[in-house]
Amino acid sequence: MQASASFAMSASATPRLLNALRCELVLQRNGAPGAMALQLQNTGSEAITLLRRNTPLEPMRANFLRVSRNKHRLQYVGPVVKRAAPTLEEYVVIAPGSSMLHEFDASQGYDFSKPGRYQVSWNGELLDAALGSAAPNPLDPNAARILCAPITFER
Amino acid sequence: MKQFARTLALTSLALAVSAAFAGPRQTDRTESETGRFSPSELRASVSSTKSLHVAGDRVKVTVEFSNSSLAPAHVPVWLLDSSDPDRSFLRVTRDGEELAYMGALVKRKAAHLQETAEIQPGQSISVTYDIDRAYDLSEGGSYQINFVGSDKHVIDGHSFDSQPAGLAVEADPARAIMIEQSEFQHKLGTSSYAASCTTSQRSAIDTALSSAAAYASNAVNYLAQTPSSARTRYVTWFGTVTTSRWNTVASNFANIKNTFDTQNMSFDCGCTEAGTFAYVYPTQPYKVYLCGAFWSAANTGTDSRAGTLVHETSHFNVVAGTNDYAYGQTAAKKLATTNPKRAIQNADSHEYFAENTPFQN
Ligand SMILES: [Zn+2]
Repeated sequence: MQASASFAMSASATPRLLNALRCELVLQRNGAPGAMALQLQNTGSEAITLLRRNTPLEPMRANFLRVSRNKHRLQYVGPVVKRAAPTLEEYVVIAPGSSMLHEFDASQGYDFSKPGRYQVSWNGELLDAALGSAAPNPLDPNAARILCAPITFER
Repeated sequence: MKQFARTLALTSLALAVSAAFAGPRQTDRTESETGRFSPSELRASVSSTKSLHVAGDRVKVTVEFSNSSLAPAHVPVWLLDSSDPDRSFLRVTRDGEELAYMGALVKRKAAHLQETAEIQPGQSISVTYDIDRAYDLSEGGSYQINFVGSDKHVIDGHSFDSQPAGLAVEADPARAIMIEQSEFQHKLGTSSYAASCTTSQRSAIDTALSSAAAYASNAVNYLAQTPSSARTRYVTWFGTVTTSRWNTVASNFANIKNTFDTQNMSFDCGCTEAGTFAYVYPTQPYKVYLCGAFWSAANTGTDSRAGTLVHETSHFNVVAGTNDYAYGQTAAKKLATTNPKRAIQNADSHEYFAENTPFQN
């Protein structure tokens, strides 16, 4: 399959970087203590299909954020879930030139109840991602990574 | 139906059992139209002789086993012997919360290899069991006790549960001390179950736990050998061999084995999601939430129940603090080739290494 060929894993230590995807965490000012949003913009010329699993695009079921309060890293207090191979419904397609904003609640995994200066970053890891229009193959995932700007705020 | 080579006469149990013979004893062996013995239909009912137990009173319940079918029923001899310390077949709850079982854990032969006692059609047998050495009743209050039968308890018929019976106990801190001093007391290496786990689920978990402990033992023994790049099983799941990474994996499995062998794990069966095997909160050892895919999995092999327990146990921060960096065998193998540092922190990599299916050296 053409799309995944461009993602073939080399023997390098980290999965391929998806440069076309611009990523940003956005604070939801009037929300709950952990209310934020993930903004993704496809700046490339091909569609990007990515698996939502273990990313901010689904309810928190893995430790994928790095949260610190006053520069001390907070431990992840949410669940970690063993699931069967994903179905196609777990993927999202971002068309070239388009963007999406997805709200999520980081307090499902980290304790934002104490006042202080918080920094939240997402490791940008995607368990499976593909370029182009071909359907993904959940049984042969191609991990990828995007760079995502962190946010800092005072509570 | 099976025939039992070693059926013990009930009279030899006279000291341990107060047998109440209700109804006529049927002496003819009943066969169904198909020519085979019909499965026995045992029932258990629990009652308490005393409704209020004040401080210092022993707390006992009486279980009446009655055979309402037309065929003799067989139960293991130890079940009818109140001096046997096993009380795992009695479930105690207080305000809907199940109490942890602290009594003896007795490892037994398969039910069909055990000495059995026969309960005749129409016959019932009552046995009185103390429960205050197996459950901590020191807080006092009102407790519900029921009999939870599994295939460990009934040999040739269906498993059976009783309705709960209630009894009241006066608060008495001394009861906790009595448990601590009990020769059969154990705190470690046992399981407790949420009310959401059915009797058959509890027994499936027990089976999976034994297999998971065997997986962990096997992994510990394997990793005690000299690190070598010729060991394909290691290389497949954890990548290029270094002594340091090999030792990390060895220490992870030592902790996993130790957890199965010595910790009180608890299980919740309330999650029914079909695409999910299980989940844990890594900060909350040793509770495992089992979901739909767990029950449809085989006991051993790839993505099995036993393997899932290895996976979940590895997640606890106090055990190995693993993460889910890749799911499934294909992704886990890729992770081993591309990022061994991550593979040794990945839960599925530990699971697939433990399951070792298909076998590798
Ligand atoms: Zn997991």
